[in-house]
Amino acid sequence: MQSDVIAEDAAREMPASYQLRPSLITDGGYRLLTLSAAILVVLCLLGIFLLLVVESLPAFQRFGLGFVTTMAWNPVRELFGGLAPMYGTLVTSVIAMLIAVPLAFGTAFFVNELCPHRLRGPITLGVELLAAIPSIIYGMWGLFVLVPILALYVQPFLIAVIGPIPVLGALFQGPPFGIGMLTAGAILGVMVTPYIAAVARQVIADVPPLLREAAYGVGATRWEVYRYVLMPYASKGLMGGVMLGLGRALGETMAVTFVIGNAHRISMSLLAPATTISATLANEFTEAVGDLYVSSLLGLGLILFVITFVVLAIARFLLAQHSHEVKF
Amino acid sequence: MTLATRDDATALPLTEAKIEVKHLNYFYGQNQALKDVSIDFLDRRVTTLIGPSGCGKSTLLRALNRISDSPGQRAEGQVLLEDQNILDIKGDLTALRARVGMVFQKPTPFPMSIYDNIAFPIRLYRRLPRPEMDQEVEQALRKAALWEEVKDKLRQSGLSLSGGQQQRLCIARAIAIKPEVLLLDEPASALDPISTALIDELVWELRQDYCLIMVTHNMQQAARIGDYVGFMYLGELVEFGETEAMFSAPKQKRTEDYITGRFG
Repeated sequence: MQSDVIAEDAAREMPASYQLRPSLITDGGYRLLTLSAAILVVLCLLGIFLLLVVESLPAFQRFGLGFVTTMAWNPVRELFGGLAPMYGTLVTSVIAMLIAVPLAFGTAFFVNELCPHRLRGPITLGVELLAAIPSIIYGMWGLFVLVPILALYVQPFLIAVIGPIPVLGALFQGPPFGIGMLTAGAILGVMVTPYIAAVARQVIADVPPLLREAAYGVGATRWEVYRYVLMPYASKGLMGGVMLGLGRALGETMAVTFVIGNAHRISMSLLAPATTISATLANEFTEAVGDLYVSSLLGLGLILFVITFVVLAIARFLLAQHSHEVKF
Repeated sequence: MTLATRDDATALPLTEAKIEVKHLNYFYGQNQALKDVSIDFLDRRVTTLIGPSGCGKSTLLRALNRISDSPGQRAEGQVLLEDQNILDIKGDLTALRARVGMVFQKPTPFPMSIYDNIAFPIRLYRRLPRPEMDQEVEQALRKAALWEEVKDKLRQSGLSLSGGQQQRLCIARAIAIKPEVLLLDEPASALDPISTALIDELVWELRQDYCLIMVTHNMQQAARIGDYVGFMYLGELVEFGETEAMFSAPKQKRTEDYITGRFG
């Protein structure tokens, strides 16, 4: 009873200004606003995908499976096969991974396990700033700095030393142009390193400290702890990071276009000029005459879209699995 | 005070001190975690360390194989493992860790098969042909009372075992490299009562061969399986003696208050 009286008193004494003013954006309105933003993004994705499918249909109808299994690329006779750019995309990305994965894992391990605390921030920042460099700058750096170095020193060395070896030697034949798949792969490797390193650093840091101590506790050296305990424990997350980097490498355009040589052919030699899907699109779109030419280019775009989408989906899946497994 | 002379109560043969801690001060930056601690840990005995959280018992344990070696930490005094001061070791600590093994609060199986969890640490020290390695693995698992439960699934991941089994796997892993001292940092704190009883039994068995030092929050556990017990409070070793004597007639007021549950 008494509490009712107090409540009434309180109501009487409450100043008018304490009452809620009607808000300009109601909860319902806010929900609608954010929902439409989210839907718009998804619609963009679907729209781009649909456009690629519809526009590339003529090319696929004309060439069928041949579009992905032949390498003829002749705008004059209107013969288009996407094998060469697909091959170039794949090979440059593999080279990029071969360079980026050891660099990124090494960085991650150093920063997490060996680095003095004071250096940790600057090194992490430095590596992450690599990702902030615009790709056109990478392209120019590649063309003006990396290409001469490779052409003058590295490639002659590779041709002389590895060239004569059977099988493996086939990868290092021909004149040292400087431009070609090897150079493009090297630049891509540097470009995707920060992405892989950032993920690797995080998933290694996620490993429970107790597990680390247990491994050191049985007398394992730092390398043994890293190789046999930390890496297997974080394997899914690390693979997710690699896939993330691979997705970037597959789609990268500008830097590659500068240094790959833009030649529609498939060569065993990594030193030979080649092309990638994205480099082909960047180079040829403006001069593509005829519906079939444009349609073929968009067909290449669709292939790249699907490959990248699948790779990134795998990355997401693996990283989600990783976060489920990290416990203690 | 030499404890070995007071050892006539038990049937075990007299033993010597395996680790002698002399006037140990331990600092985390400005914070002093251990204050002038001196204690002898006897070979083939179980010594338990009890005390409220933050009293320094884990720090003392961890100083014995220098597991938490990081900048900002500093130790003064001596920790003698058979006359070698382990605080003097510079650089490579793997040899020390081979002699002083450790089991942690929570099970820490490595992300590999049950077999490899045992074989991995052995391989760090010795290259063994397959049949001998099989033997070593079986022996370690038998000693840890785990063999019967896992002998048919040695290829499965160590993470697939239950918590209690994982902890016994970790004990098997620790003894696989035949250490001289085994440090146990609240080994049963994350386990159910049945698993805890199994671990206790195991510790009791293992004292035939090792110098065992165990940190525990569980007074019954300390009373049950410890030959000696040290009570720590605010970084000091308040009292140290035979378990029975200390639990029945503690000399210090603070010890009595703690073991009767008046604080902590």
